[in-house]
Amino acid sequence: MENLNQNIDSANQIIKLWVEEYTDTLYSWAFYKVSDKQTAEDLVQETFLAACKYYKKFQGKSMAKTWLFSILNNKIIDYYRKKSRTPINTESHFGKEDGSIIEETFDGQGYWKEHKKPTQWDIDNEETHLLDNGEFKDLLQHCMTKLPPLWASAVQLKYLQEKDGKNIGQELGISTSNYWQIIHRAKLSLRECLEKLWFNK
Amino acid sequence: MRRLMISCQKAGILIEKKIAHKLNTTERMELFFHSSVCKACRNYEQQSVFIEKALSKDTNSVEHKPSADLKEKINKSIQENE
Repeated sequence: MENLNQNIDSANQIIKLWVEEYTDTLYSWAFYKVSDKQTAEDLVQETFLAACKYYKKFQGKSMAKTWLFSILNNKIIDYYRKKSRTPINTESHFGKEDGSIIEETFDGQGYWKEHKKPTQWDIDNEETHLLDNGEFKDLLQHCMTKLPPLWASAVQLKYLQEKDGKNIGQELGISTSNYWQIIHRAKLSLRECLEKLWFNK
Repeated sequence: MRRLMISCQKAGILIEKKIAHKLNTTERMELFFHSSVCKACRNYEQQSVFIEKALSKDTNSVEHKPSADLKEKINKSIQENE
């Protein structure tokens, strides 16, 4: 019994060193993925608690940082799975849960309404630069928070997991064709948000 | 002419599938003919690909800092769980 307690002790001692070393990096990633301070902090905390619990399984088989990140990513995935089932955020301005973004964007025949046509963005020469621009990334994050939960989950799960539309659709309880519709709506919404707040500013 | 073509709405969905490499031959043809005459959808595709790149980029260039007491809080919760 004493031996067991000693083991737990030393595991927790090691994890406390990890807390010191990796909390900031893990938090930064979590915040980037969930766009909410409190949620990001909770996820990082849960990550370390899970690390304590499963420390025996770790046994130095991979780098501590890699292992912690894989736990965190699973936590983020769980977060989005749960979030996809929460009711619509009424404050979302750009995307709406139903088809109203489609009605706003396209006419009765499904062609772009004149004032909704995507204008040309000047990204050809600037692309790499923009993808590393902190202000632009913050804005993209801001636009993501405007999406209804289900749409945001569909988009995020796509990048967090190596899965295709069929599998993600299953996870979210929607059909494959519905999944593509949601991705389309999410992109329409993100596109419009970026155009308004960045490209046509 | 319009009746022979898919709508922009449908083209948008096909563009998303194209980005994910999920188009079949018929869909590829439909999208090709539509895009060849629709500048707005060509813009949409370029932008959608761009957004895709921005979202899938794994490095976050901006460092976000947690609350000053987060480490302390985590250490405390580890102790409580012992």
